[in-house]
Amino acid sequence: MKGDDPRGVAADLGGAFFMIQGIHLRWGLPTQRILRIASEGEPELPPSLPLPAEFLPFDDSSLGRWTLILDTRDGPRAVLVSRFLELVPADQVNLQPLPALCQRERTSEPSNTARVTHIALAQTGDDVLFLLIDPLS
Amino acid sequence: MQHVIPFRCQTQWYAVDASLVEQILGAQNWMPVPGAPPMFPGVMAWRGRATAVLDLLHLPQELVGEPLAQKESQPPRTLVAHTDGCTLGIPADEVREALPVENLQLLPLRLSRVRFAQSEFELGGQIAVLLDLSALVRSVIETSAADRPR
Repeated sequence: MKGDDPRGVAADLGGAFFMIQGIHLRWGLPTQRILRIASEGEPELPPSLPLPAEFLPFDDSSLGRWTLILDTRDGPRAVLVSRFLELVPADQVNLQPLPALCQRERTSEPSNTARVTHIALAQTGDDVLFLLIDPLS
Repeated sequence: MQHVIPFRCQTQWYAVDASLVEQILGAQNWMPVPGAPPMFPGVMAWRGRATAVLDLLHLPQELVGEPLAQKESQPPRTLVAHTDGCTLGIPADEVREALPVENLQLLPLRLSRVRFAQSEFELGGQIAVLLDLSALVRSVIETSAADRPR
């Protein structure tokens, strides 16, 4: 990833992010890191990607869920998400580094846990859109 | 002339050096960051930047009695302060006007056991503590650096 320059980071991660809605948190995943989208329950999926917090995919039972197969440092990994996905173009996002005060390396955490690398703010106002996870970081 | 800004989080009154305060806002939405230290549990957006939120309910303290409980709703005020290269948002229930230090009778800590407090003073019949925000920020940054695998 190209340092902390937001434009450089966004360019490196491709043109868009999937914003995935959880019960408590919103995550963002770079579309460039998505290898394919599988149906929920598809056989022979890769192992799940360990996330920094439990992710409870939003599910009102009408939409169903998908499994995103992501490119990670450890090979393909799966994340189950609601089909309530929003595609957010990179130019609508103000990517900011995670503030130093909010960073803490947890030595007890498995080293393959995906990390929040940036905070995505709306370009047009002071709103936090999602926590960006780059599975290859 | 040095001023301090008093503010209240639940029942505890604090004060910070007014020169560190950039802005006082209304309630701000913030998003929790998994794995963040309890004192800085999340981020808010301020002037196009991701800003750490300081949760004073998690400030290490040796209080006599029950610890302060987390409330469901966002406190109605947010102080934005800057020190040691870090900007932080501090949710507060009430903020008072700046007070000149020379009008305060700053005392060594006797009744308060709040970590990162420099001194205490009486404010409307209650004890307020003057926080050393710089020491607090440095402490978290140094702890984070020490926790990182080498």
